[in-house]
Amino acid sequence: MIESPPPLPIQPLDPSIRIRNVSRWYGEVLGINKVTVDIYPGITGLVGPNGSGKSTLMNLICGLIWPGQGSITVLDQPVSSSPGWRQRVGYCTQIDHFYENFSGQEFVEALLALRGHGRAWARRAAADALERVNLTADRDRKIRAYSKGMRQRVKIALALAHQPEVLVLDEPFNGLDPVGRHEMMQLFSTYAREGRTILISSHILHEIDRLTNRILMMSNGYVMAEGEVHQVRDLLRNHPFQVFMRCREARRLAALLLAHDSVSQVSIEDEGTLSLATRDPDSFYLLLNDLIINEKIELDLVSLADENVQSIYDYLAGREHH
Amino acid sequence: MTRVAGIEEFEPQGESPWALRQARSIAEVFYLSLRRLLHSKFMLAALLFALIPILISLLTLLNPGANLASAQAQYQNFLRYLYLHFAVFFVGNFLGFAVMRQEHDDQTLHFLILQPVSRWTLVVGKLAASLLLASLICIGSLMASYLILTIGAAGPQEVFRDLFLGAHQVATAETDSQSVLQASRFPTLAREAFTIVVGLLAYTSVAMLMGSLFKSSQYLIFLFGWETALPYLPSALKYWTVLLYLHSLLPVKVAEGSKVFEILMTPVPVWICFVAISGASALVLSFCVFLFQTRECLYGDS
Repeated sequence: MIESPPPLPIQPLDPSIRIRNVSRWYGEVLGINKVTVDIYPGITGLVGPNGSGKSTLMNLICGLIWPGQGSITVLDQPVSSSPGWRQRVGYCTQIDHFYENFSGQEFVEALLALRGHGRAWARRAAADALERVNLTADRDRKIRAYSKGMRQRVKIALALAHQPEVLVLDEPFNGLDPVGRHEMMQLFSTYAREGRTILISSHILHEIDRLTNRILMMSNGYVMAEGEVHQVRDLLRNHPFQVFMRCREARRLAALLLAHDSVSQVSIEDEGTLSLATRDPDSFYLLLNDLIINEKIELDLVSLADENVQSIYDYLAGREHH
Repeated sequence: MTRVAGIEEFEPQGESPWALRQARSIAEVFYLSLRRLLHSKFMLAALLFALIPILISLLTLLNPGANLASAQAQYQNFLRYLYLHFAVFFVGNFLGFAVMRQEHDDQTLHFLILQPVSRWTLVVGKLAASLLLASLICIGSLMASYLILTIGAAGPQEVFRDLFLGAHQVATAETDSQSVLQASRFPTLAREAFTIVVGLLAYTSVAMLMGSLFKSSQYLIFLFGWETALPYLPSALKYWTVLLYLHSLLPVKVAEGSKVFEILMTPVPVWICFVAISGASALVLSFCVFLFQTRECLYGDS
């Protein structure tokens, strides 16, 4: 029998982006204030309402604007006007302006060619990127004739054409139809699986939910929460966890649950479903196991109704979750 | 350094030397800027300003010069007062301003900023594009004016003989002892064209800086007044004008009918002209690069 080599020790990945105490004001208007956060390989969802500082943070990371104070490093290189670190970063901005008289292929190719690796390389890389965003059929049409979704695809193609290690995407699903959104989600997931870092903002929170568990939530220029969705949810102890269950003996189960302190509220929605609130999910799950074994309760479904980006966002923004 | 397993940078096989990459980058910025300038509204304005001297030349055909010499004197006045004072100034300023400003106006500057290209590469490539286009427009217009004025006065045969053959042709024909001394006109025209390029370099550089600083091209009113008035005033301020050096670079120093102005505008040595214009242009462009490096890419307020 061949002896397999010992497993390699699992090393936590270094953060790709380090933001330290960064503030940015536009005159007297706050952009972001004292933001300190690390962003790791994989997909991180940047969420928050309009004006919360999402685009400011992305512009700072990509060196389009400078912080008033604090420092940002991307792949261990400080963000500056020097060109070196930009080789490894791609940015899809929200700005919907192009060289309108260029075709999609010409646009991406012309900008890639600025890197100085020659036209042949730029042509090949542009064609490859446009193929990845499913724009090959329309790549020779002028951008001015493109639909909003096609313009969005060109921006994404430009951002990932040089296969960057860090991809920053500001509202990349804007203007895309549901099929387009699905395609782009798959593309970003593939990129993340390759070990790349993707920071993606969207005001459509369920899209972020589908893409990633890791979030960075902003409001009024401050970071409200960061981390895995369930970790963030765990920290919100003042909001009871909402649990949804489907069970044939809903009334009996409700009565059994209410007898315990860990369950604060139970409501029967219809004959087969009930929802409850608990402030202590660990005790609740132990209790549920106990009921299943000892009381022979049969459950069809148990799910946490508010362990998602939308619910967390609602709680942090002071809105009740329904 | 953070490196992620499985990721290789998507760069071509065999890294090119640094100098070659820079040269390619400049060439690509040049090509991109040239293409964008051709679709700029300032391009139309530049063409219009270059067309005006041609139209005036055509008007002179109603009362053409008596001979080639008088047509050439007329051309000298065109060169000094319609081209150096007017067309070169506006074409250079329009295209220099446009090549920088259109990135802000069209909100496309971030595409350039996000590429791993040094700022000086961007500035040099943009300067080259606007300078080439301005030179083609101005020199094309100048040559058209010259041909219209001289052919209208002396006919095409004499004009082309004077232009390309000059003394050689006349000497072999052994017809006119005065003409034997006459040289080919072409080197003089070439030097005049070169003077125009030097002027365009200065104006385009200044305009690029203005395009980086201001939204509007209203600065042109002040600059035009400065350039038009100061060279003729008995003050040291004339040395701060481009026009003084351009007049000094012209091969024919005094044009007929403009002696009063020429006396006031005393020519300076050619080497001083080159040092002054190339030094000033380099200084202005360096400031342009500095602005590019330090300013943010914000479209709302710039």
